Amino acid sequence: MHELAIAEAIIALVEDATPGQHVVTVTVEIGALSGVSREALQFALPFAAEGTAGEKAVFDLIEVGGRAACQECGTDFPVKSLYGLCACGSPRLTIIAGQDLVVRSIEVEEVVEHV
Amino acid sequence: MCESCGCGDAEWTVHTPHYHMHAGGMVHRHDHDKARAIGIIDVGAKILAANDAIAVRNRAWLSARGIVALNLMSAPGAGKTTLLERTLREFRSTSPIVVIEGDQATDNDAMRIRAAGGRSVQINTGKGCHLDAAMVEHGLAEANPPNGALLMIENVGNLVCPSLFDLGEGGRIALLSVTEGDDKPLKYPHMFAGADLLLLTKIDLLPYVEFDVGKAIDAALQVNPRISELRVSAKTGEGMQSWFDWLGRKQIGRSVDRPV
Repeated sequence: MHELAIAEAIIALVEDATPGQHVVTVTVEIGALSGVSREALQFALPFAAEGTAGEKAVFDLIEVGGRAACQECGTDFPVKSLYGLCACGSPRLTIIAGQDLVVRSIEVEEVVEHV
Repeated sequence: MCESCGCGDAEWTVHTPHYHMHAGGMVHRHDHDKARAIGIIDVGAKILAANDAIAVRNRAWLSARGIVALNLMSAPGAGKTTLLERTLREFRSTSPIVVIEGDQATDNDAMRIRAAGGRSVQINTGKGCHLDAAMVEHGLAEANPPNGALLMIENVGNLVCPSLFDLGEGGRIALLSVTEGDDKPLKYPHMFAGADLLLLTKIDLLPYVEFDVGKAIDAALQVNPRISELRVSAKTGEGMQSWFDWLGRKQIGRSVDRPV
């Protein structure tokens, strides 16, 4: 359940980025190889958001697929785990996508004076 | 100013008739029926950036003092504290050994370390299932390890969560006891993918359990081709010398094998 710690870190970022604003939607990118479960994070976020600027926000969690580059033949291809084999037979892979956890954007609502 | 409705002021540039781009990069979308505006803030921030920044600070602090810091991680009950107790009693360290103990509750482990003659600080994570860089920063301030010390950070027993949090350590050790099952590196790949050393523990129990050492090492290598491997029993002492030699090499090399 490190997802609760991840949720708290997301809320801290949201609070820093939106002083005094009403947060509508928070878009978060979850790498498929990051070790964070999207379902567990979705479950944890409302608890972490309680009493904060993100309390009423919708958390849009987008999964970013994993990609690896083969150190032997240089091709890159989608992967579902941290290890595996390239089509050329090599197990020497470098993960190039899918390990990051990023708060991409935050939608805030503001009352404006003009109509 | 919005060309369509004339709202806003001169510092806004018009994006499309109903979107305004602020100088600060904020987009204003507004709806003429509602006195509300939606702003989209482009954040693009790594969620663990705050932890990683503190880890960088810890690493610099340790490096400036020539302290070798090792992060010991495993499932609960793999034998981290027992390994440290025997290490404190028998390893002829060239420098003082200081232990930071991470557990959800109790200071039992810190007391065990002190009874074995070591200096230790206990961190209780409460609801937390792992140590993070800020906890270690506090632990360092409390433990105040002397220059050149060997710092052992015993993480919370957990094969999943601790692997995500950089503490500022100079090396990661994943312990796997032979009572756990030889396919654990494949089941918990993050832990073993990030480790410098696989330490197979409780090898005195091998005759009594169905644990295939070769299979476990192959599994770890599959996840992490660079991982080193040692086999020990902190109970009988078997293999402990190879562990002490590994520690000795770490101390001499003062090597930092995790990226700074």
